[in-house]
Amino acid sequence: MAGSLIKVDEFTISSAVASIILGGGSSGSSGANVSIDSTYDVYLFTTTNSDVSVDNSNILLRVTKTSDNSADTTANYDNAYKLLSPSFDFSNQANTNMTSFQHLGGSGTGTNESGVATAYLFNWANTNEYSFMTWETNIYNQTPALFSAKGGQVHTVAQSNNGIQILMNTGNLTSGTFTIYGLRKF
Amino acid sequence: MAIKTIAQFRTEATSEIESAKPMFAQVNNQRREFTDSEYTQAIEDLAQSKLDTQDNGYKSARQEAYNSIQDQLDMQYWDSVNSTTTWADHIAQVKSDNPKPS
Repeated sequence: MAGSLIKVDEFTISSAVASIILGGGSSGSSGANVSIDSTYDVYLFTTTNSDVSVDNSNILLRVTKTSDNSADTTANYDNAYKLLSPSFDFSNQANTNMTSFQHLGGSGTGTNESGVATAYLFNWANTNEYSFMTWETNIYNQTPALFSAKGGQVHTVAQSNNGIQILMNTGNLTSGTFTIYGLRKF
Repeated sequence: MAIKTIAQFRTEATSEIESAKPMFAQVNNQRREFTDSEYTQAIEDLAQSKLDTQDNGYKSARQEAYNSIQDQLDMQYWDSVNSTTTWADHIAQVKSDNPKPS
């Protein structure tokens, strides 16, 4: 159906940065001053052509709190996913009580190394529920090749969140477009 | 290799973040330098990342280094036929190349 995805916020990196925020009200990177809220039940978060400054570094995610637009750095991030690669047997992965979500781990700096991802965000602005995402990523890494992760992540705090922070474990993001869409209600 | 403590990793991370300055955040359509609290958080994040790599990095390295299950079964079959130790040698080599920290 046409018009089912409504772009809410987007940021394309033009100068290297270590932290950006989509949504997040006045903390948002785009200056649009928008938030993830109850306007939509589900939001789609996409990452396109991400590149990093430090080889084999990790792009991470955090929720930003509606209360003060700041990233939640507490150890309340869990995930479970299947890690897929043509270079080794697929493996089950799970982590609890991390201080961030994982996103594009093992990002590289070589030619054509890049990452893409989609994640659907559920209950983000619901004060009574944990914030969930279903999550699919693909990274091309020259050694060995493609890495893909497919699974889910949850922030185990019942609080209202209004955005998503994209950050690095080390170094900077040097390029990439990050977008959130609302799934239109009918 | 001696296991490092989180305090030692915080010291390393502090040095690395100092070297990486200035770091920037994009906020409200402006690229601005990290605040003191953001630098502090970046140091903690890097230290925790280093600790996780130390404690768990060998697991993912071994996962990537092991031959596929199919290949390992094939190794075991031919080991049984030929009275060789190809499979055990492979496993031992991967473990040796990617030691558990101690």
